[in-house]
Amino acid sequence: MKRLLNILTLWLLLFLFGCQNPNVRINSLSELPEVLQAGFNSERWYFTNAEISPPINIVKKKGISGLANPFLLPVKDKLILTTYNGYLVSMNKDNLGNVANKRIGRGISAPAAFSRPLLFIPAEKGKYGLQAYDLAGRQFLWKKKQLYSRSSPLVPDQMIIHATLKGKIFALNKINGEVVWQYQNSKPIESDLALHDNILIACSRDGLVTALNLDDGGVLWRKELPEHIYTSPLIANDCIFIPDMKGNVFKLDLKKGTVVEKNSFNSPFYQPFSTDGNQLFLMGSEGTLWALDFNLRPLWSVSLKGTPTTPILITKNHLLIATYQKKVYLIDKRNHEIAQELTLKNRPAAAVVDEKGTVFIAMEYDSVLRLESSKGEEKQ
Amino acid sequence: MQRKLVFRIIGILFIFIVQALAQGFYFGRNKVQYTHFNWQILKTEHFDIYYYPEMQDVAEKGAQFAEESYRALEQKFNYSVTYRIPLIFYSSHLHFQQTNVTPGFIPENVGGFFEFIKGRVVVPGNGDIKEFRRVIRHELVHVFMHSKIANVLRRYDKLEGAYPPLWFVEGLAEFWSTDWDAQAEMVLRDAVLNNYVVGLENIYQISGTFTMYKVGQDVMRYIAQNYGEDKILKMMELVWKYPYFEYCFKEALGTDYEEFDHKYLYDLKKRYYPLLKNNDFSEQVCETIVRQGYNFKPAYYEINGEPYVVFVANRTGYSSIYMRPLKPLSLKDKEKDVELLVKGEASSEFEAFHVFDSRIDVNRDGILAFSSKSGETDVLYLYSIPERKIIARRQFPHLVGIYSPAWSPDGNEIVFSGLDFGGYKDLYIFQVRQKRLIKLTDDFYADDDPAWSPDGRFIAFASDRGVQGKEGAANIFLLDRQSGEIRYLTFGKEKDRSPSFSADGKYLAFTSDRKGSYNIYLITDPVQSAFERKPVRMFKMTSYLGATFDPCWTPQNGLLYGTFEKGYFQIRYEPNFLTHLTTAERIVQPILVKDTTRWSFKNIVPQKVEERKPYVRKYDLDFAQTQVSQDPIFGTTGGAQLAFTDMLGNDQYYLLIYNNARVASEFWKSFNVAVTKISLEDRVNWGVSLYRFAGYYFYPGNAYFYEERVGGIVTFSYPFSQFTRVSVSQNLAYSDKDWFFNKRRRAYLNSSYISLVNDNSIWGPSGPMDGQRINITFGNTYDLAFSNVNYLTGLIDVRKYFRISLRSAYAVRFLSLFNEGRETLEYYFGGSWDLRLYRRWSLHGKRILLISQELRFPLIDQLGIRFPMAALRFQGIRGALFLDAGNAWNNKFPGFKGSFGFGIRLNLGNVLVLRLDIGRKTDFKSIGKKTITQFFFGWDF
Repeated sequence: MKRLLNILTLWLLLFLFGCQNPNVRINSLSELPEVLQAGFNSERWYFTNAEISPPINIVKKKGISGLANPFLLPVKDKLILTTYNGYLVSMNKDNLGNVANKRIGRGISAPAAFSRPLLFIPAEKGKYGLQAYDLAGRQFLWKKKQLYSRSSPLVPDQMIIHATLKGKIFALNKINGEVVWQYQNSKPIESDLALHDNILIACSRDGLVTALNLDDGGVLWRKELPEHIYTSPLIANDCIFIPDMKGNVFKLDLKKGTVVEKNSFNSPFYQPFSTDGNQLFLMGSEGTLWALDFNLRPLWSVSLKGTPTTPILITKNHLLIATYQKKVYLIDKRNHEIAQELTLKNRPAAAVVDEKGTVFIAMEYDSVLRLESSKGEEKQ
Repeated sequence: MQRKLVFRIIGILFIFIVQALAQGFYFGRNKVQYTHFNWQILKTEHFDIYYYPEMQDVAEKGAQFAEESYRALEQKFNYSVTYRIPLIFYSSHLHFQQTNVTPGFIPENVGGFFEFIKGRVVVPGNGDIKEFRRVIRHELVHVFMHSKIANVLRRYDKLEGAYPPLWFVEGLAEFWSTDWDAQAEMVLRDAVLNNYVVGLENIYQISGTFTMYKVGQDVMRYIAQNYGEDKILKMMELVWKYPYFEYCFKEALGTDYEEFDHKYLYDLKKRYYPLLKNNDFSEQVCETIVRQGYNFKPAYYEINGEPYVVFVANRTGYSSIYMRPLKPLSLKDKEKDVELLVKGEASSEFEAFHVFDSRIDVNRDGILAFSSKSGETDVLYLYSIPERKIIARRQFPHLVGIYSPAWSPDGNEIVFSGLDFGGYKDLYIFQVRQKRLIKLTDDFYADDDPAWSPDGRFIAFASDRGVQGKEGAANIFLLDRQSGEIRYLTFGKEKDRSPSFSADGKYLAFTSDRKGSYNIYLITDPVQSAFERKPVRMFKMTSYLGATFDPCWTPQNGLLYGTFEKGYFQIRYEPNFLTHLTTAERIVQPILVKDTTRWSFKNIVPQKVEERKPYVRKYDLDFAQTQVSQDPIFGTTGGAQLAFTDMLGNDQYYLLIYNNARVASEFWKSFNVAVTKISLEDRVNWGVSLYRFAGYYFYPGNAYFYEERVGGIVTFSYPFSQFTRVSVSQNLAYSDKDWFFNKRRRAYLNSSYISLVNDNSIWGPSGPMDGQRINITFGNTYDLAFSNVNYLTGLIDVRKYFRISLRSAYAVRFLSLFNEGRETLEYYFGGSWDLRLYRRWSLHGKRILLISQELRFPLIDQLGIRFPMAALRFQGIRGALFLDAGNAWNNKFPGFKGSFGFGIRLNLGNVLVLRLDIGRKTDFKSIGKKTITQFFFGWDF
């Protein structure tokens, strides 16, 4: 009997601790960015106006409960991420300490979006396909059953745009989750949407590009591209840039949907374009990094090892590229050379550069690394 | 009843050693390491390549192919394999069959494999460098797929998921490594037009067959075409999400198997049914000479003016050479006049006839020339049909493989395609009287299927030396024996094979896949076309729905050929073959000029080689297994076993640890450990083991006792051939045995055993059906120090299987066991595995005798029970009639106990055979009144 009571007590303690909300609390909301999305902006540029000074080295490594989704959110002094196996995790950015995590799902395939103070987490499996978590109040504000998704949400103004695997696009009220409008696409949507100037762009894998009016979800135009598309669109200079799986790249007019330019390369593309507003960057699965102008003409290229695992991240002067060959490259945009080639112990799966130029990388299968320029010691 | 535990443990230990030494311990065939390879390692960016120096050139090409494939597959899979992939190359299939990477036997039609434990890829060359490249790519698709799926599961923190089924795994490997070719077309077309094609819902029915490979490949093509190739990748990326692959399939395509089959099978009909309008099956319009089984490579022969066809076939499970009168079969003909000339796969002389790759030939004197694997290499045999015996046998020191021997018109020379140790295939001539070997070609190209012109001056052969050979083409060439010059006869990107001159030399027939499927083509006046620069007159002579190949002329310009129809390989005959000329399609050939363009594949460039070094053994953990068991008397036993092997599987280490202590104070007293090393590298396999076994046992003859044994065992096994081996073992152990009632003995035991095993059986669904199995073992155990133990052990187990029909056999077994001496073990006897209908192990004694007879036959081919929600299917239920007689005794033979009855056997997934025996006991003076039913599991004896 005594033993049974001890076991029950232990179980209760574990249960109570396990049920704690993540210890993620932001005190000073005014210093937080308004919005943080995978792609850094709703146009999906993957550009942060920070400076990295190579060489960078690993200064800290921390184990977490799973593998982070392809974008880590640096929210003030915290790093917030979700994992493929369904955890919401937060940690201090400076020392990767104070790790808090909570199981919120069974399969999360796309990164969350942040709109102060709410975190919107899409899931592909489990009970809820979309959950809104209040970082200040440390509680879930609302949850949506099913609505499973592989897309990272967009958060314009008071709305959140959520695309589901069944091809439905929802505009929901950020605060209470009520549906503002919804649209049924004819094909499933598995990549991130892009938004600019009230025009929402969705790509399906089969090549269907759809433009919707952000206000009411009305269809502006549709365009069927000839090949299948694995990745997300990018919007820049009032145009949409999309690569496909046969090595073609397209430039479409944002308002009309017509193909303005096209080019071909000999490699399938599994990652989207990135841009800093001056050039477009794209990496083929055979390992070539391309810099293109906005008419899709190649400007320069670099051969790297491996197929990319994440979109190219762009800083003021460098590109950060992670590949399946356990490599992280820093490419100097100015002289087009490899400024640094870092080999990790395992494959990098997600990366982010914060406003101070600190690099955070999630590594297979349960680690987060903090990298800084070489003042810090390398620890792994 | 509790068996003596130490016997079981030693049995386990023995199994560790001897099973590794001889596939299956008690019986089993032998994987013979005829050749000692001087292994080297070539390290490239992504691969560790294991090869031997004789094949260095092929290996370096293989390295280049591997790196190219790696790059291509990185893009296909959107993924990189980051561990170094071990690639093990062999220069020929005969060498490949000796590999220890897998303990199993490798059939002739296996082109390579990928094993999961160490992630090794093993690929043989066989003279065709393009096929080598294709197989490397095929196996690397498996590597990438396996690694990608493991990565996906790990990302989502899943231990297991919806691993793709075999049709997907092999279909994908085929789809991403090879184009749709005539062989694929042959298989799928036949399946559709003969109504045995299945869709994905029922693909389990053809699981593991070549048809499944091709259906899988075509399904991939269909998905890529209609849904997008990205969907294939998507299915793999969804395996974490669902318990069954069909759900991944459904999410990726938006359709389940049933709906998919509905469209796909219809698409197949639309593709192939129109062919019926203008084409026939050859069976409908030609004479069928041989129909049953799998029949290949016809050769013409006359006995006293009567025509015969000699051919290679697998009609019973053994590939053999047969002969039959050249007369057509009716549809219901049972082919009783097929005569077996040379039985293959049952003796070391004729281990394999290379049925797909090697032709045979008969000269005017009735001397059949053929090749067979015999030990380490192929042997060229001459068999006299009139005398029905082998008259000559020839092995060539530097040749591993011999293919397609063909007699010269004067009967003194035999031309053949020879595969050397380095992996290159060239033409050779063997002069029979002079016993001299001449090498005709000597280059990197694969030369095959040689055939003499009637005047003996020219040799036609198939080769990839043409300018499009690099892309996979094989064309027909003519070699002038006088000048040595080689000229094109056909030209193009097709695969042209098996040339054959008509008796008057005016025609050359050959097989070609131009137009997408195998058919017979004809060139008129071939010599003039090639050497006098006359225009080539080529005709497509057959357009049958089934593939046609391996043409062979008769003196009257009739044509024998092989065909694939209704899933079988058959032989047809057209006595008036040339009448096709009147309606045959004329094929336009470009003007043939002497072409000196030589092509080659590049070796891996030195800059991409990271290291070269001799092979040094390093060991990795292959598996680790733990087990806990609970017994009401003996309590709990827990233990673990680990196995370590080197990369080539030649050296193996096993560690066994377990404990059966009942209380903590007995922990060391009941601690058991055994360490075993086995070496399989050379022809003599050996093993050594050190052990300590200790614990409490119960044995009816000995009651309850504690015994500790500490010792070592050494075993050697020498295989004479694939079928016969001799093994010796020597065991030295200290034994301390305590019976608790003031009885205790110590002994220094020495056990010496010798075994002779022969096994050439082939198996049906529930047990052996043909051949024989023999095990004769003798041994002696005695106490070196105290004379407390001294006994002799003998075992004779002879089993023979007489084939009655394709699926029926009569099996006989004679078993005799004895133990004689002091502290002998008793044998336990009775039960479904020996004396049936008696309780298991209900009889025991120092001597056992058993004679069993059994008639085995098919009972129910298919039994289905359909419920509203699901269906159950049972296939291959077999029956048996048996009669057993035997007994166990100590001193005087007490007479026979027997049983007879009827049995039913059901094979469950080739893992387990359920057995039900019903019958009566007898003492051969009277029959028991009670009908006994006995249910158990296990294979037939």
